[in-house]
Amino acid sequence: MKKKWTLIILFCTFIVQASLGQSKTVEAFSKTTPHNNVYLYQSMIRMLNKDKNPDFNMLIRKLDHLKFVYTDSSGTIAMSVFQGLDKGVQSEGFEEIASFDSKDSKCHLYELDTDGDEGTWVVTMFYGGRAGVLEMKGYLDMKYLNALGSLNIDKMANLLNVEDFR
Amino acid sequence: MNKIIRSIAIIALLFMVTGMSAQTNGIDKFYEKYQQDDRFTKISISSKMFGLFANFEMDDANEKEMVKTISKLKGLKMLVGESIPEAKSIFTQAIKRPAAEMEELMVVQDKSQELRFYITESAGVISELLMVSYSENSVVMMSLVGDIDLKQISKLSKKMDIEGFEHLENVGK
Repeated sequence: MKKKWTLIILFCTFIVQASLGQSKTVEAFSKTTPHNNVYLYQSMIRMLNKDKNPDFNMLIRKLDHLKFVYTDSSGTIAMSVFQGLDKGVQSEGFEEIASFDSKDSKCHLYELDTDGDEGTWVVTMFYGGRAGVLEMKGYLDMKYLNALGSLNIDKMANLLNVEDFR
Repeated sequence: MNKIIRSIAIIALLFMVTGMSAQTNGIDKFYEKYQQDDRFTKISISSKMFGLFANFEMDDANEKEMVKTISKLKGLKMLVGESIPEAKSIFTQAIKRPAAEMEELMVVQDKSQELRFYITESAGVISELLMVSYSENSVVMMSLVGDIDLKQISKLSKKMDIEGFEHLENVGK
């Protein structure tokens, strides 16, 4: 019996820890578009190291995951989705650190700084008439930024279904 | 009676401080005004974003200096209006405040276009660089705030593809 309770507590702790630092807005949005969700965990991203560059692994060693979610709909519906995502992320306490807004495309970068290392980054996007959101938990070690050249961009674009987004 | 006067003075001071902090750079007023206007492209970068550059490790001495310069910046705001018939009138409005409160750094002018650079400088430290320009139906405003090294920014301007910034190259010489 004791063992059962220990397992339940451990399971609950794991769930809580896994959800800490993740955006509730992104989570809720991903449930509304179950066919347009792409998750890339660190182990998967490591496989995109086309040159087997050790610095690339150092670059992403504190990166937990990338999550890309986008809409089926387009046009005005997508624009209202984008605006909703923006409001939701802001209401969670994310701080906008960069933004680009033009008639046809919008891109807002937010950060939720929790305890030092475990920051969560969210990018809300409106492009090509569609809306989407990219969540990055953890961070890139900028000392190894040059190793970004070893990223297999084509493979990553395929995994993220970026072609669909265009 | 004294208490009432003191309270009014405190409230007035608070309003003044709030008013000053609400307009932190030379284009905030216009950035807010045209926030919902689709004819304008808006770009904003916060100090946190620039701060990330501080972690970049560069091998080249020039690149190191450039990274140091960027990491000292506290914010960038840019407003680009295309197909704006009233571009010249917006430009005239936009230079009123800097003309009165900032130091003019450079003016480039011909029949159909005008570009002005302004700076806010105190004790040899430049805390804001403002660029305002118009040509025919377009108007551009850009405000850069932080600890600005004009010589380095002019070098950086070569790499930045911002219309009008090429004139800054002469400043650093």
